[in-house]
Amino acid sequence: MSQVIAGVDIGNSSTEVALARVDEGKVEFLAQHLTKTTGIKGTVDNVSGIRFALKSAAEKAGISFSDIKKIRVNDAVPVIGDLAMDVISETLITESSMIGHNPDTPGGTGLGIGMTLHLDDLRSNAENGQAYIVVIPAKADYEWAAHMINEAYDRGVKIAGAIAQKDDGVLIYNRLHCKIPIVDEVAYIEKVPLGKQSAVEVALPGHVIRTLSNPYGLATVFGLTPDETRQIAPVARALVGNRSAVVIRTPQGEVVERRIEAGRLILHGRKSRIEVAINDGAEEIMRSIERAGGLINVQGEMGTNVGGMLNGLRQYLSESTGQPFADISIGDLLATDVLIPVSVSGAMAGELSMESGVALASMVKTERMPVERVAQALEKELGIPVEVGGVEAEMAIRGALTTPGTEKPLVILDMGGGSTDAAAVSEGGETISVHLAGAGDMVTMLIDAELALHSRELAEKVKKNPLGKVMSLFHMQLEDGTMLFSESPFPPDVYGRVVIREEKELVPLPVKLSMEKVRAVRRSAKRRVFVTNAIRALAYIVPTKNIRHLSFVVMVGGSALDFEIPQMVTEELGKYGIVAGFANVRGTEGPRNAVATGLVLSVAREVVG
Amino acid sequence: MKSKIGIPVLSEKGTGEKVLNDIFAGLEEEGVPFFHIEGAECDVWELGRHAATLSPLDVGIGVGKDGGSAICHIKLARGSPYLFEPASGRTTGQNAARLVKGMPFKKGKGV
Repeated sequence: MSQVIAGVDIGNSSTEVALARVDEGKVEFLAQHLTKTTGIKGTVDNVSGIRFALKSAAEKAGISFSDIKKIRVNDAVPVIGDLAMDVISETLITESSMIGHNPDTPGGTGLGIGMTLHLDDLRSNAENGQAYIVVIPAKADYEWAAHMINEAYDRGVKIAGAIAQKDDGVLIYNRLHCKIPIVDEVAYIEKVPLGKQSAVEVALPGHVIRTLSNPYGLATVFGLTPDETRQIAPVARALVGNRSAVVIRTPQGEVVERRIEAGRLILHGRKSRIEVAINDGAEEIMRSIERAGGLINVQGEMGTNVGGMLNGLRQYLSESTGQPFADISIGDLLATDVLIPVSVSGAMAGELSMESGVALASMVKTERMPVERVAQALEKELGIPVEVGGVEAEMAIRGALTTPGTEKPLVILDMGGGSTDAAAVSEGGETISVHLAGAGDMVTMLIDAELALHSRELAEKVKKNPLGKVMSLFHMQLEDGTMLFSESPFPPDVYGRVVIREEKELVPLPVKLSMEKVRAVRRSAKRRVFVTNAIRALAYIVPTKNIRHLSFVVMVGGSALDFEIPQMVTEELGKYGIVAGFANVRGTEGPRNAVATGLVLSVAREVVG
Repeated sequence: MKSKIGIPVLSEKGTGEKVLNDIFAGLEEEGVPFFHIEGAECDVWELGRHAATLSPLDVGIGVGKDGGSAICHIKLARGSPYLFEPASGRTTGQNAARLVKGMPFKKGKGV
């Protein structure tokens, strides 16, 4: 007798179902559906998402909801793959003493050195023999500013450069008798200290400044001692790559580079207990995790950022599962170094400086939370018998094995949203598996932070789609340099801009970002997470711990659908002589639906008994 | 008749001096040459389209005496300015220049 069975896979970010008609051990798949997981994986909140997915799949299959005779869910362990970031360096520039930004159209070129003087004081306070940098507020019209400067210049006052608040550097420059560098669009011009020694530098179009971005250039300009040069080095560093900049020397001003105490991690491993400071950077943290020999738990130093963050996660999971705080453990960590653009304290034109930090993805879990509760709640709500299936890894392997051209022994790499998992099955059917922190969500976080997008949604779009740059009304350049032509003109909001090429629309990115930069950040984020974790996960499941002993790896999971992640992983694994490819579950589903498919097949086998 | 290199600014008879000067300043700040022609009394879109046909750079600006302006491109279908601003100012000139240079537009009124 035939009956309809549903397999349900609750993941960190998506819930997938597969519907099949099972008859005497013969399985005929009818439909599948994917939806966002509701609540934390493995908690009762998942029920509404499951219900929705089942309804949608039943609709697709053209059967009624009540035809489903049995539901099997995966043994989902409640896990939060959470992320945090800590800045560990901070450049403090008190008594703001630098302006380094890239207005589109600065005026003139060259380097000017002099004392800062307000435009209104040119007539009364300018002395002969002293060079001046003129400070021009927004209320001064460009004609007036040029007239005043010319008048002073004709009187014999030395004018070395100018700083303007409005975007009229070129306009002023074109009307001057003396040719000087002018930096414009300095938003907070009222913060510029007057009567101080300063330097203005503007490079030719397509070039970058050379003197002010070099600590020894600054030392030359301001006559600094070696000690003072060391102190002002962060200023020079913050100006590297700019086309124009201003540095003002405020003798009582201080430039300090602080190392923030981000705290220490206490790693409880199977072999040993190791402490490591966040400040030591990601590489050292990852090495320590390896030395600890498989994490049992991780704690953060009390009263520090990292301590607060890890305890916050425990608290959150404890509250949402109703499990005691003490039963929540951290099973894995992935640390990566990040460069985060941070607003410079005391900036005058919205400048950013690149600060170093560490991003952590952690796998917080509770062992004692039976998924039975989810199953019971589901059964109560739907009135259909629900049972909990076997180990997730085994189900994933079973699903992956429906890919044409695969057989046991098999190794799979499951790249999801919250975690990267690997599992291996021997010829005899024994499986070994591992779950690691850090996957799709972490990539999104890195992109968001490193491009300073301040929008998870936009970062997600950057992650999932290739880029283009609109070059004219009718054509755009793609990442690989090829051109794409459009029948209709591109709308003004994307003209000349770097855009995310979504299927149906173009999403413009902030003007300051170049296509190369966005692409580099996107690809490096994917590498740092997925390539790193692929190697870690595979090393764990190889009995010899040497991944060269693997020959084939099959990739499954949502991130295996990405337009470049599988290629990156394939390329990296190729270096170890491993052939990697992404699954095609049931010959139709691609890398998706492996676990749900495996669950259905496991029921079918039992039916045959 | 395409003679001078630059963006033609075709203004309706009686357009205010200040509006024009602001547009010129925007063009100058962006470093794109321009020239001014005073036109007859007519619709600003028509002026813009005509300016584009006179333009060796394919882009023209029409300015109306009410202070509105239309930035037109010769390659676009007739009857549709690419950018229209009911109250022109310096961004009008800058954006016309940026349309020639292939750069992102400045946010102004009406963009």
